[in-house]
Amino acid sequence: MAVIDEVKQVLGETLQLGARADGFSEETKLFGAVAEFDSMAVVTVVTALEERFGIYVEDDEIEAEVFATVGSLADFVNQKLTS
Amino acid sequence: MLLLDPFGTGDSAGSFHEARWEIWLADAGRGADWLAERWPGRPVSLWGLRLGALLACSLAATAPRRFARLLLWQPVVRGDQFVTQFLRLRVAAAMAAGEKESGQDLKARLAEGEILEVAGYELAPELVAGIEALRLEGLLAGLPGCRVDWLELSSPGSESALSPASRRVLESLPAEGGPEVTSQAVSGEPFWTIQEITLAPALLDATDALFA
Repeated sequence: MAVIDEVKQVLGETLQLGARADGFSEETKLFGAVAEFDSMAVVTVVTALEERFGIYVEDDEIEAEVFATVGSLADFVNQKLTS
Repeated sequence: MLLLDPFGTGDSAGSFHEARWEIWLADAGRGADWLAERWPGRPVSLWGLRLGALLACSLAATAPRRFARLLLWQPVVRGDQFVTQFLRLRVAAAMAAGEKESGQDLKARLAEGEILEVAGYELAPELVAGIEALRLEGLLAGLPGCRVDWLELSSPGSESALSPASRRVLESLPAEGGPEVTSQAVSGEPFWTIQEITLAPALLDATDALFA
């Protein structure tokens, strides 16, 4: 599964979005746009991504830009996987 | 079954800022005593979810042969990582407010004795220190002969497997002289992170089967 699809799956599960997450594209806006995506959700998503991909996220990487869109979040994960 | 609200949480007495790991441990021990008095001769098993699993193992480790059986649901394996993840709630809330805080700064403030508010909880440095010191691996290794059933949830649609961190703990346990561990991943959603009441039927079925 492509990273972006896995990210969409994690978002759908952790935010309880059901089928809405299937319609997400790279450009879909998240933080500040999806009502369920509050600060609590950010933490849940980060923890789920860490466990799913075996990556470790530093606190100073938890920035609004990372969570701006589905694409920016997938880019972040990709960058973690290759670093 | 006796279900405890730890001191400072739920319907129990105390405020969260007064909660200490040692109090939770002593209270869990009192709960086990109460069960043993009420049903003399019957074995008492301990059951914990997430940090509660560490509490169950901590209690068992205080009296290695007292509890014949432990049931761990998605145990937290390292207390320090749990604290880091919990502090992130505040880091993320600051991000949402357009500010910036770091977990390291928050830890430094705790180390200076400050009580921090995180997601509505008044978190005391003493409680954090108690939790940070916990390692599931070491606690389990000190439970010779104890039957431990370890259950985890895997997201529906993905392959059912224990998390890498859990596998590492299980692989580190001594082949002899340690606990007798069974482990299993079942499909379900992490209900403790979800605001709405959510069930994990496969987890309940697997638990039923273990205690049938």
